[in-house]
Amino acid sequence: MGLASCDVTRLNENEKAPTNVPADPLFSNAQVTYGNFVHQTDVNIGIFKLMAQYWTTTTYTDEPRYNLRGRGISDNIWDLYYRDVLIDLKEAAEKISTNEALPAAEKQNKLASIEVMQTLAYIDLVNIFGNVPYTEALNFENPQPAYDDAETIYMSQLDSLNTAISNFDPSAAGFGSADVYFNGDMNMWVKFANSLKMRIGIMLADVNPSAAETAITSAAPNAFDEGEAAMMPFTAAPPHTNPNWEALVQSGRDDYLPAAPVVNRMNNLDDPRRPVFFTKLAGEYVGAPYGASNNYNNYSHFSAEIERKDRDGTILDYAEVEFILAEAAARGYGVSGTAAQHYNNGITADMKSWGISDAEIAAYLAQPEVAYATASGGFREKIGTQKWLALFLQGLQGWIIPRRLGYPALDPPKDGSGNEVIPKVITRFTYPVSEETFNQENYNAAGEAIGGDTRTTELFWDVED
Amino acid sequence: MFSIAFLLCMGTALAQNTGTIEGQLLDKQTQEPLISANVFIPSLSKGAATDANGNFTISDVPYGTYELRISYIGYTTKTVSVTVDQPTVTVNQTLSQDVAQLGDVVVTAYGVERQVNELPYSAQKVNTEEITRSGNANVFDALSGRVSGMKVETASGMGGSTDLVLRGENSLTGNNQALIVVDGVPYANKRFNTASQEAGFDGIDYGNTGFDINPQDIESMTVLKGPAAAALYGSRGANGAIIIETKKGSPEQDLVNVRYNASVGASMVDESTFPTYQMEYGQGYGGGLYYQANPFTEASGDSIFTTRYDADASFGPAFNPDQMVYTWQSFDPNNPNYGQPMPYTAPENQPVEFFETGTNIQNSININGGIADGGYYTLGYTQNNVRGVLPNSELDKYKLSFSGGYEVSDKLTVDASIDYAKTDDIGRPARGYSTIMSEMRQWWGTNVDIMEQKAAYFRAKQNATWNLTGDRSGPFYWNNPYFERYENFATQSRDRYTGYAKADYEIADWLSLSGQVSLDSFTNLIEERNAVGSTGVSGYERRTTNYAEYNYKMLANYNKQLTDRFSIDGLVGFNIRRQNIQGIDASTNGGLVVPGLYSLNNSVNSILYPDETEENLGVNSLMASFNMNYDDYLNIALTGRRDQSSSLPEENNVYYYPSASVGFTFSEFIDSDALSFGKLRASWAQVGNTAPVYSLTDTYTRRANFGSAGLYSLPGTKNNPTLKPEITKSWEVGMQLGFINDAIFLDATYYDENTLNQIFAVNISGASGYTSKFVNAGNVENRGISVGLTGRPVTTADFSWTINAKWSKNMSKIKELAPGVDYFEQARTQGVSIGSKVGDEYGVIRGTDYVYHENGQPIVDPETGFYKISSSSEEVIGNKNPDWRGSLSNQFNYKNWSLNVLVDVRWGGDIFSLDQWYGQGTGLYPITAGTNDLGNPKRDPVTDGEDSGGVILPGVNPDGTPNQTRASATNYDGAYGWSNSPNARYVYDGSFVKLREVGLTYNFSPETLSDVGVLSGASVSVTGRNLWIIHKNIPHADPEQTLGAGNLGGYQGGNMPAIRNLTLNLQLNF
Repeated sequence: MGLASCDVTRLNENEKAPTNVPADPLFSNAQVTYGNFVHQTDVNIGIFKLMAQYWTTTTYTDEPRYNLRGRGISDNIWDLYYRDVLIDLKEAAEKISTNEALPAAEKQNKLASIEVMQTLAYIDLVNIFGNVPYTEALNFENPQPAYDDAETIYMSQLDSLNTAISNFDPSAAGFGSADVYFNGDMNMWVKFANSLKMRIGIMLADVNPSAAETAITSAAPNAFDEGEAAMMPFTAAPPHTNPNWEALVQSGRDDYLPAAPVVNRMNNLDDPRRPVFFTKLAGEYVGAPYGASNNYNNYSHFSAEIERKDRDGTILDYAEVEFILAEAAARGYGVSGTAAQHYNNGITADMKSWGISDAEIAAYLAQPEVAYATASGGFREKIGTQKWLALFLQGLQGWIIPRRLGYPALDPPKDGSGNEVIPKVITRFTYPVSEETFNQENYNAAGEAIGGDTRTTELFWDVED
Repeated sequence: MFSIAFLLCMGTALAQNTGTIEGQLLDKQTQEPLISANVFIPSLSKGAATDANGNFTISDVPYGTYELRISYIGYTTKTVSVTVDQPTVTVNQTLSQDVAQLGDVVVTAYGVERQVNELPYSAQKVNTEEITRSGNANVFDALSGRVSGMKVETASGMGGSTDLVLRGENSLTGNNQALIVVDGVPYANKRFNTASQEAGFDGIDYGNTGFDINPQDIESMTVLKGPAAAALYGSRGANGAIIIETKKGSPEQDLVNVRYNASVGASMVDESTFPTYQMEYGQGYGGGLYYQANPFTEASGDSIFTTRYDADASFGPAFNPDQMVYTWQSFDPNNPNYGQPMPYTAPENQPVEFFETGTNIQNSININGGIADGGYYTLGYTQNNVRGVLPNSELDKYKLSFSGGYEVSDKLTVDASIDYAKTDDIGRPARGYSTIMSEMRQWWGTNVDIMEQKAAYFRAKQNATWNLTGDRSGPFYWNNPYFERYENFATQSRDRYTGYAKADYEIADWLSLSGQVSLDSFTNLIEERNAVGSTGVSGYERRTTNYAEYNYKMLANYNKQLTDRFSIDGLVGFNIRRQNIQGIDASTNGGLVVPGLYSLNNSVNSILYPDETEENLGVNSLMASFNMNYDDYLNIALTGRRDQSSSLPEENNVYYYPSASVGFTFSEFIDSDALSFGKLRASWAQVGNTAPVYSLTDTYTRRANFGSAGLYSLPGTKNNPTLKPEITKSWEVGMQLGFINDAIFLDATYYDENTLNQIFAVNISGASGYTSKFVNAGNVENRGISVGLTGRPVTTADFSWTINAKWSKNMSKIKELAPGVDYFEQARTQGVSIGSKVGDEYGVIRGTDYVYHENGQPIVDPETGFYKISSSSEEVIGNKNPDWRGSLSNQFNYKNWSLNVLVDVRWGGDIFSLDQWYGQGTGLYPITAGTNDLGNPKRDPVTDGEDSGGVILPGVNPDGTPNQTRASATNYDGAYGWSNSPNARYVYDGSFVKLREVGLTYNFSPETLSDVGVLSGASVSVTGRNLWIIHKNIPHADPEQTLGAGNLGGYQGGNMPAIRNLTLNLQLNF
């Protein structure tokens, strides 16, 4: 019938989308997606500034009152890490490994950079949920991956990170301009990797002190120095603008307010960062009660600086390194310097990043309520409070502080009738509904393993009250 | 196609003797004369109508033998042979009433015409006259209640999309819509609605492109209901097919025949499907009036009372006419009340006043005729101008069509057709969450007067909204609805060309060849706008789609009478189909520089890469059919088709679709007065669906560059290079019984369809790096019964009454999903999901449920008075599938008058109402206000005393005793709405009984018309559609409105109300 001349087989080739791409755009995508996520304020996914009680909402209080299910927040976070960050990193790594044309040192650097990004992501996942799929993850042929023990994932990532650190060759090229955080500066990657190792180390301090000390002391000499940080360089042109601007300015809505827990503490300490963070209301800085229905006009708002479109977003900075060192010193680890020195350095570094003058910083540090020696409580309270203040806008990291150290002591939100919606501040996110429905057996096992899939189950490093 | 057979020696008559045929025509049963019946000699294109006594005369008939065709509406057409060999030949005849229309000719697959009584499978001819008269621009919407076993659900509002599903959804995620074929050309019925819109998020309903069909052009419409009937169409026929033939000229006709049709319609909202509001409290989320600094004076410390204008809810302070407050009007600088307080009262005009009276004007002219020497032509033009019920909504449809043919020789006929359709619309309705409908149904301020919003918009064309931010610097959650309609409207423009060229060649009297090349193509442009001053970022987006489908078809038709009793017919052929769809989607980035200029180059920032797509699909097919008829009582039909599809992997891309049907008219062997006709039929078929284009190989997703760094990401759905075609295996049995000379006629079918090897993206754990992957698995079963019953209880010369009842029930079952996958989720929106587990029906609604006591009552928390809510959000709370659908049509004819009344029923089928979930939570609806069992306002605080507010929710304490605890109803976190209710509380039974259509027609009699001269036929009719919802359970909404066309359903939020139409139609034939 002459059909042989009408071949159909080639019609199914998509001419407008690639079946193969280089590794670089996959790596860039993972960096941008991650960097954007940790600064998100979209209530469907980015509610950590609420969890840390830095921010609260005006009218709709579902999220500050810990309704994670209504919007599928856990699902969205989970999918973002695995589907939008980790799988692209894995894909990039596979392409690099099989690329024979790549010089060996560049290949090593690229793979090590990917490893650092993977560690960053997996540690977050554990800190949000507890046990998560790890060894069986990222394989479409296994649609129902088993979960791994949270601490095991930590230790495994610590190993990988050590390997990555030893593989970096700062004299060779990396991802170059495809590297959104450091523009291919391998020295900065080494420092970022070591700083991340310290972050992991301090998380282990209460459960595995020896591993914690080893990690911190080995990493400290090569961590971020003053003025250095891993930053997400948001741009003035959409769509890569700072999510805070998007929520506070671009939306035209009045959804968020500075929360009372942070404003009150800063007021008590006469914090010089307040004018940089907030506007005044009748001459005062007034925070809105966390989780309450709040009238926008009755409270301080965010400052123009917080609302700046192209403000860089911190992923890990020198101030955090100093606070880790302060805590390490306080715990008697073999780090140079005293707890007080590092504590002061941490506060100073953060304040400087906000443009606070040396004189104001000095005055702040001199206050007995701030000075390390005289500030109230033990090292957990002293460092916990100041580190929590320094992590303002870094919601996910900020929410970890009260969980791990027990300080600052935050109160759970109240409902309209004045009753607490939950007996305590939540200590983890429940697993996604999609896991409950599409990976049920493993989901059940994981819930059992961590002590129940509830919002108040304490994670393995959350042992202090 | 066999018109050649009618071609006799023309032009030789003059030399011959002529005679006259005369006679009388009577009803076989009543022996009453049949008036205005048609008596016609096709071979001479000559005929006459019967007069008031049933008499007719055809003169100047050359001597010879002729086929005389006698037809009358509602009667079986009869053909008799007449020999004219003397000056006057008398032919007296009777016709039988034909309620079953058994003698009707239907057009089956590939244009093969058959009589209904010969069909061994289920097909139904649709009465298109009523559709034409109804003035409905959407021919498929008009099918509701007219086809048994067919789901016809149209999204309310101008040009709404229509869901056409026969016998239930077979495919989990694939296409379940019936194939549409117009004059042998597959007619694209594409939707442009986004997936997120069909899952309940906001979006504009762009309708489907089947809308381009002009009802006035339709000559006949046949619905091939099951796979067996449509198996010749291969993969596209898996969901049945609708075969449309348009009006065409023929060589036998006069040179010019004109048919003119005009209609004028009005449409208005059915208020029972739109909210009414509580009238006691104004805007707010709890609390009293705001008391805040007076912005109109310099003096500090001067404070004023204002409404809670920043809330999009109505749990605010109680109205008090003695209280003067500053409202949104007081803060609008262009408002006469600017700077002035106003009494705090309920508004005069409620949101239902937002809707206007829509209009629909249609003019259609169709000219056709025969030209000497075997030529014929049809020229049609239709113009349809619709104004919707929403402000600033307009749809204009123009259609120009031409077709013509020529009988080149007595063997060869050629014909061609070209249609041009242009559709332009402005302001199609948006539906779903965060649209105007969501605003009015879920998030309204009950102190707002809608007419004041209208006046405020028109004063300055600014977004003077009722919902301001706290500092009144702009809109908070919602725009002024008029601003939204007049500034943020979308437009769509489509140019469509369809056409074909065809040649038929008669090789022998039993064999003919036909070749056809056809094209269906359109360019569709959608433009969306968000004006400067609106909520969100201003912007402009344009989506262009270019669609083209080419079909090259060659068929050999055979038809042979082997003996007096035994005949065979069928076809053998091939079809080559090529489809190409190209799309470009581009938008501004970061806002518009110049307000009101909607152009990509008015973007604040450089625009991002447009999204460019191209899809190609090719299917090569071979098909053959064989039909056998023995003595008119035994019919056997066999069909086979082989498809080779480009969207499947090379090693799996060929597949076969066989079908076999048998029909046995047993009444031939029974001599019974009661049983006049009886037939049994059975058929079996295997058809299927090909894979979606590009579902074999993964491609990477492009994201916006970050500086100079390009971004690519792996897709969220893992494709599958080993896909096989979906297969639907079906069988059906049917029965047709006619009683008392077919005065009562029953047509019933039972079918069973299983769709195996479903191609669908199953949800998988996101931890795999993908959230879904394509698999070939699963088995969805649809079983059901459809029954049609026709009867004519009264027939006299002047009056007749015909009843037509249809009833169908479909039961679906998910028998199997993929290995390791026990749940398939179609959509999850705001905590409620639509999906299926193995063993479920198709489309089960899941969410949070009540916690039930063993006595079956929901448990109320005795501390709070609120319902206890299941800990899992995956409880089954409903099922979208109706128990049954039915319709009842009554047709009355009295002399020249005819009246038809159509009632349409859907029984059962649950709907989760997001409107009630939020709208009760925001205190809009009357149930949230008023007084409680103590006679106190519900919204007063709950106390221990007699002055307590709050409500006692129906339910029991944990020990099973009746609940006595009053639940607080003071705010959104009270007894009503989303805060303290399980999703199950807002699931409603979606049953409805609707008075779908009432039509009254007056047909002018030929005598009257002969006075006028040129007219050969005329009628005037009035048709009302969706006049009355006789029964429904869901409050303030139309249960028929869910998510519109698509595979979802059972979920309602932000839908349009039902719309009533009234149309006056005039039809003239010259």
